Amino acid sequence: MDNVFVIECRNQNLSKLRHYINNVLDQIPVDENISFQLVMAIDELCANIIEHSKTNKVDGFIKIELTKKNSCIVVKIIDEGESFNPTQYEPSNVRDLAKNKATGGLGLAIVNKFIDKIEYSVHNTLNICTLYKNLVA
Amino acid sequence: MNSSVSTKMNITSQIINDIYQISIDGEIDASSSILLDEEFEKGIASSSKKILVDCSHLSYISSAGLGVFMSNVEDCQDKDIKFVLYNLNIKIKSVFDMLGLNHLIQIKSNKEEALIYLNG
Repeated sequence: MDNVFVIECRNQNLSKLRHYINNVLDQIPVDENISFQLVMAIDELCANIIEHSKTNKVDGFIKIELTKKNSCIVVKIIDEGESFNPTQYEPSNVRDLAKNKATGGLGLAIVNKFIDKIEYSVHNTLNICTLYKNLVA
Repeated sequence: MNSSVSTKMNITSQIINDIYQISIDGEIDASSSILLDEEFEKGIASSSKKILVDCSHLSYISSAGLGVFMSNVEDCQDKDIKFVLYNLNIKIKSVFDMLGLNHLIQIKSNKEEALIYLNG
């Protein structure tokens, strides 16, 4: 079962995306807490892509593919913007972030905590971030 | 009373008994976090030294919203302003805890406890 959703790179589309992913996960069905974590991780990664597209002033699209494989949800997030590899993320200390009055720095911490495995690859112009979320502990 | 409306988030504020009270209804994400930031800045700029944030109807918060609270911790300390969040749902509270924000930001389970902290 493949579920595909495409959004334009705009923050206003994130709410629509979250509700779509929630509905798809409800139908599988997926435990409420796992669903919350997955939706939040996807939201954070897409918000990052949108942020980068704004910085670079490019209008693009994000494609999200969601599949259930055995006891795992696999999500591919595909975009054509500037490459940004979330697997190379280094965690920041929240006390340091607060001291520096930073508003960012938490998104990838959330992704890393909530997702069991992350893969990142670049194919020609496409960045593909693949998330694996186990449905059983 | 100030009110800003978006499709999925409504935020209101009022000063009662010298406490700047912010109520959030809906979802705070990269799109709507600016409204929270504006409201919080008004609270800091107000004459009140106490900010009370009602999260009873906060259904979602992404890192953009969490960042608003985190980035204001230092300013509030510098200006001797106390701020407290209350009535977060269990999933949202778990995100604050997971990131360690519960060590920087006062979070209480209900309004009574939040007021005791502010007036203590």
